[in-house]
Amino acid sequence: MKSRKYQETVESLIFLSPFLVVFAMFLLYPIIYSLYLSFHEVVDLSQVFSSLDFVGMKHYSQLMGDKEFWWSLVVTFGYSLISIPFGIIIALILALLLSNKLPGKTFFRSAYFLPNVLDVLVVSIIWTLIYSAPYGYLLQLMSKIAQLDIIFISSFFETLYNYFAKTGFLGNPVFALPAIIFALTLKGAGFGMVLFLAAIQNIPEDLYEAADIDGASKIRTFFSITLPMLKPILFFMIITGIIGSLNAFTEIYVMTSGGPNITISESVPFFGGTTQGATKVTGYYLFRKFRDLKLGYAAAISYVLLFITIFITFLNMKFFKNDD
Amino acid sequence: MKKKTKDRLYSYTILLFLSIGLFVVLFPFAWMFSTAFKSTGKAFTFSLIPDKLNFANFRKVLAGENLIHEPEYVPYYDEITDKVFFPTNDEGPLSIVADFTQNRIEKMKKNGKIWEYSQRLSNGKYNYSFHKAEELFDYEVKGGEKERVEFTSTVKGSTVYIVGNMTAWKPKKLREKNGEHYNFMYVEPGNYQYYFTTEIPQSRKLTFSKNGKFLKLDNLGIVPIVKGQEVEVYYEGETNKKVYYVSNLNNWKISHEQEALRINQYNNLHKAILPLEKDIYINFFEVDDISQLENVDIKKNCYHYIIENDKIRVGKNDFWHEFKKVFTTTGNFARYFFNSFIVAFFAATLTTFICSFSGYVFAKKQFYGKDVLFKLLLAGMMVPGMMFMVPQYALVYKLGSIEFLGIGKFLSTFQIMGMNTYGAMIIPHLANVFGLFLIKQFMETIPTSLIEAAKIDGASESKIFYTIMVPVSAPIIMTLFLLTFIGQWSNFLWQLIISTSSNMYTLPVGLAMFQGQYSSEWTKLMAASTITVIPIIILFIFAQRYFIEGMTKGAVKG
Repeated sequence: MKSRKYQETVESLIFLSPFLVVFAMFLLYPIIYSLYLSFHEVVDLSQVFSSLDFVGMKHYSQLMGDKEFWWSLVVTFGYSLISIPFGIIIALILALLLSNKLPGKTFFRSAYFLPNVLDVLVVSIIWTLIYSAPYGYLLQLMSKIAQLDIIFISSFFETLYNYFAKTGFLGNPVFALPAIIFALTLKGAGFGMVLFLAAIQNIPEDLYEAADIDGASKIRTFFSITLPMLKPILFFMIITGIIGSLNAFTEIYVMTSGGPNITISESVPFFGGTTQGATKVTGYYLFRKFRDLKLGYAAAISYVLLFITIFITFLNMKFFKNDD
Repeated sequence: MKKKTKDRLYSYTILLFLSIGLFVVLFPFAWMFSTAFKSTGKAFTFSLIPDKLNFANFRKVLAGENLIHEPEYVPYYDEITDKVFFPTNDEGPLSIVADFTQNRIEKMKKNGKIWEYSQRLSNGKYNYSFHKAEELFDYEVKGGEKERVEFTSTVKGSTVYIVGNMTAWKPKKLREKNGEHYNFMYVEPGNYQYYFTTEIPQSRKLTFSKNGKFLKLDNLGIVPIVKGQEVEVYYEGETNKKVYYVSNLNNWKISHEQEALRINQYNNLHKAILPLEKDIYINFFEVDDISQLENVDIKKNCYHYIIENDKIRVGKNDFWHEFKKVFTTTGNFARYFFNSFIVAFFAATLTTFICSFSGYVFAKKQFYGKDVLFKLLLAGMMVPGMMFMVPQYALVYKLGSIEFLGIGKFLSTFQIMGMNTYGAMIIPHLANVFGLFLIKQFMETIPTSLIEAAKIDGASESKIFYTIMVPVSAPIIMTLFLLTFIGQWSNFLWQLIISTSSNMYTLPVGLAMFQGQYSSEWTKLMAASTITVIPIIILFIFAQRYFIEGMTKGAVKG
């Protein structure tokens, strides 16, 4: 019996070998090499990887005082703070609407899902143009509405138009990040929608019937039956949302390159008086360091990212365990 | 009954909301499509319907801007009216200035979609040029002396020219000061017409011979003549050698039958008779013997004739040749498309192979260290993607530059590993833990008794894998293939850092570079975006079930 398992191990290893070789080479080794790199510094820029000097914890201690880095974490946090609730709400509303008996249900499901399979880069480029000033579609739309002469609405859109006319949406320090998130949430809404929809359809019908007999209102039913049953999906979306914000890069690269710059007022602790990019998330900051060939420093940043991810995954697992 | 109407009203309201939402979600793509068809400079018009459906943007981004030689309309002679017609590709309103208009600017007329001018001509050589005068000014100098006149442009632009009869209808550049374009000129007494423009009007030369019934253009040769269902194409030889022609109409084959007829001994005029087709590519060669053509690039510098409604457009076309050059050395969106396809296709194929092998093992085998290994792999899935950028780059860079035994050079030349290689874009992503997980989950549902039965029949491991596991798991393998394909098709960051030479760009990298370089070519940018997105949309339409199930399956389990 034991020899059979031994034989199976050999066979298994043959089947597994291609996967394991690639895994070891391009995923496992890089993680270790990255740690090594984070303790080193490139000396000669013409020979990047053969001129490394050991610098110990220098990068990590430098990172602790790097206001730009901490700022990027703040922006990343802001990114998740806006994008996750917004994404969940949109997806949930769509799923609730679609969970009714409707003609053309499968069509809507597929059509809403479609943008998910398309390129983030293309979506970002399109929205850059839609948001742009002065001829971007959104601003044109606003000026068209402003000319319609409807009381209150027109003047409201005129104010909006005048506010954004010079910079566009992405050039405005306050609205740049929400604008990016809005574009990407619309792209990703279908994914969450399909998840929620599947979960809603799995909720046993008799739960609702029981609530109906008890005379519970629709809103009450939603909060006491539907929402609790969707908890696993909510958790999943929060976790992937956070990891997604930590990995956010393409949309920032295309739409704002980390800008526009804002000077933070002196009264703000720690960041006071510095000038920072309003959309410079950690992923983009890491890329910039990499491009400037500060490889050791970039490796140190990616290790901090790794620890944040591990911490969040750990929290997630803990929550999940309590839930079961 | 009442409840039914209420229900119906309720579902219509929901449908309305869903439709509005869908419109908002898909609006960016609708905008992209419509802008891709708009003509240059009209990208930001409010209407979503393009001014006209032109594919020029697509052609230009696929082939590279400077490769497109739009064949131009050439003058033709109409026997019935005994007039020579001068049609043009340019958008109007247009005017013409020529010897035969006594150097006065004359308005052209629109004939169908084409701006045209007609004139009775006698034999001879003529010069003419088309002008796009938005506003034509008149100026009169009275008296008997030259006058110093300042001309200030009404047209804005980086370079502005003045064209008029005081410049003999040749463009003269204006000076610029504080955004104003102006020039001083000394003008003889007389009546003057002039206009300002940012485009230089081209001067063309033409020879007309009514008795020979031919029109000859200086740059494009003799205009072919349509006779019934045939086209006569002319070529003026330089030597006394034989003249052969090759054409797309006989698949670029070279044969003795394609000897052009010599019709005029004196000026070596040759004629080829071809069936009437819309697009004719033709090239002429003067050789002693046909065998000399074997090593010649016969498509280089060929003529391109487009024949539509008796109107002929002619271009000297080195498209094929130039395209080949651009495709292999510098890159255009056709090349980027090719690169993206190679990368996505091979990454998807190899990933499905590798993940099926290992998924099978994890689903159906018992071996030492299985649980530990699986946990290790799952942990690898948690690592944020950004983390791998620096070390993977370092690894690829190092592997490609190993000097020992010339290994690095070998890897790079055969595109296996190193900067700017397909291998470097494909291989690092092959160990797809998510894919392994998908396949393992699916294969676990296949009854083990099936495998046991096959084993009793004496089937080998690989036979079991290929004849039982793979066919049964086909749907999930298909899903993984599609997901990997779209994942690599839109992979941006990794391909951005790994490809530094433009002929290795994939579509997303090419797009990002295009956006950075030509920041105002919106219509072309949108055409390129459309090219990037269309294959995926088509894939999605035909295989949406696989996409939606595959993408959500991992989420629910995980």
